[in-house]
Amino acid sequence: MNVSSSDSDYAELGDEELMQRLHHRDQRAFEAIFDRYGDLVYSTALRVLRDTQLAEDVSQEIFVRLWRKPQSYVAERGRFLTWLISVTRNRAVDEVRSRGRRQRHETASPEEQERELPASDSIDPALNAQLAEQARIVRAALAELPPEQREIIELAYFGGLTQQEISDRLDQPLGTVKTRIRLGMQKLRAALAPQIRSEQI
Amino acid sequence: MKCEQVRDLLDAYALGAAEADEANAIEEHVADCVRCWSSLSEAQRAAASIALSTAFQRAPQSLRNRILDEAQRGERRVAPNLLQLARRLMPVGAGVVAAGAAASLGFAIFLQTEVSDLRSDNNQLVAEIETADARLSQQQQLLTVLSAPDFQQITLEARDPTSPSTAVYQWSDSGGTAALLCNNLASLQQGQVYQVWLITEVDSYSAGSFQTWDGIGQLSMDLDDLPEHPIAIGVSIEDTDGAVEPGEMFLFAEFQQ
Repeated sequence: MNVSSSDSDYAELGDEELMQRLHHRDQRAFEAIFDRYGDLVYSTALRVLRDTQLAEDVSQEIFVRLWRKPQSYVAERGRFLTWLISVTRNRAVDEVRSRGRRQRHETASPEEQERELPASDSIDPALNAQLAEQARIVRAALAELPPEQREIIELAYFGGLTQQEISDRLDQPLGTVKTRIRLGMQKLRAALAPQIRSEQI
Repeated sequence: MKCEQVRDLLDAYALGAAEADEANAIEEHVADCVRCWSSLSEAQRAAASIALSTAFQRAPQSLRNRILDEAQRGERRVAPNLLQLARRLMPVGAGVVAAGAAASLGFAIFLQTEVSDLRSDNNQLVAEIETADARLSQQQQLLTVLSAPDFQQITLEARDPTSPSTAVYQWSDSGGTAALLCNNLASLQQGQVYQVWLITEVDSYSAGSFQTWDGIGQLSMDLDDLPEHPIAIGVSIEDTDGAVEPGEMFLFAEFQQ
């Protein structure tokens, strides 16, 4: 391991390489991972929890656990970004469930979300640009979905509701909810197929 | 469940929206079906990508500082001679033993009785009841460890052979919890605590601190908060705020590797 690497060297390393270094207790690799994905983890937790303090607590838990147990990520099972997002979302949903905070999750339109995207001014502009481009593709794909399919998918993903709970919440037959999830996700997978196949997502 | 049924449910499962029984059936199925596993992997990646659609918020600088501080705190290195010194002073052979569980269960029952007695007393004892309740809560966590099928324990040896202090560290990987029980501890001076350390090949981690009552002390721990594969455990006396690095450890044991 090159211990004299500069911060910019770390910013250029891939996720897998940074994770390898985490196994060797490399704090600068950890810092680079936080600078790369801290905003995404915090934003995802905030979207689910709707509470800045809780979102900070969950983000801290996710990163501290990553530092203490980097082996919890297994590269052979998939891309680091997918794993990190899934862990964050699941942990945040657990928190919502444990607190019984089942308030209705309003969803911002992709246009509103685009406006909220901050300028890329962190130490890793290239990767933020890459994330921003992926985000743009995902938002466009979601925007193409019929609103009733998008709403249900977002209630499931960010709201942490099961199909039955969504059916109860929206007062729609369970079969309708299942069909809309299936159709919506089919379209989403088709729209994201190039990114999924090239392992960008 | 057949492949066709599973595939109908994969998207809901990837979104975390499948019911518990559906989720169990899917997990059982994909464990043996490569094609469905592959489809699930794709659905999970599509589902995870949905997070990217959220409005990005800058994580607060204070959060970054807290997280990086936490990482640095966890990286305290043990002075190599500290471990060597401890090894020289400690008789080797403090190993995993199965006995002692019954005694610890009796200890918990004793506390249950203590709490009941306190409740029947007058209001002046409220504060003591709260303290005893906290101790009972610790005992309940201890019972989780003791009743686990993979319960293990290791006896800590006193550095001073004439010391009456005894301690045992008990843990269960499946329960995810651990507890250190100490007896015949010396009374602490004002402003001091007993602090527990887990030592790995390169680091020492503070597992927490505790006070004593009547020479008894206990610390319950969540294994998730502790380093994996520690090589040794020790107890030192530190100031109330806790120390960054361990001082002299008067109780100590090495784990069998």
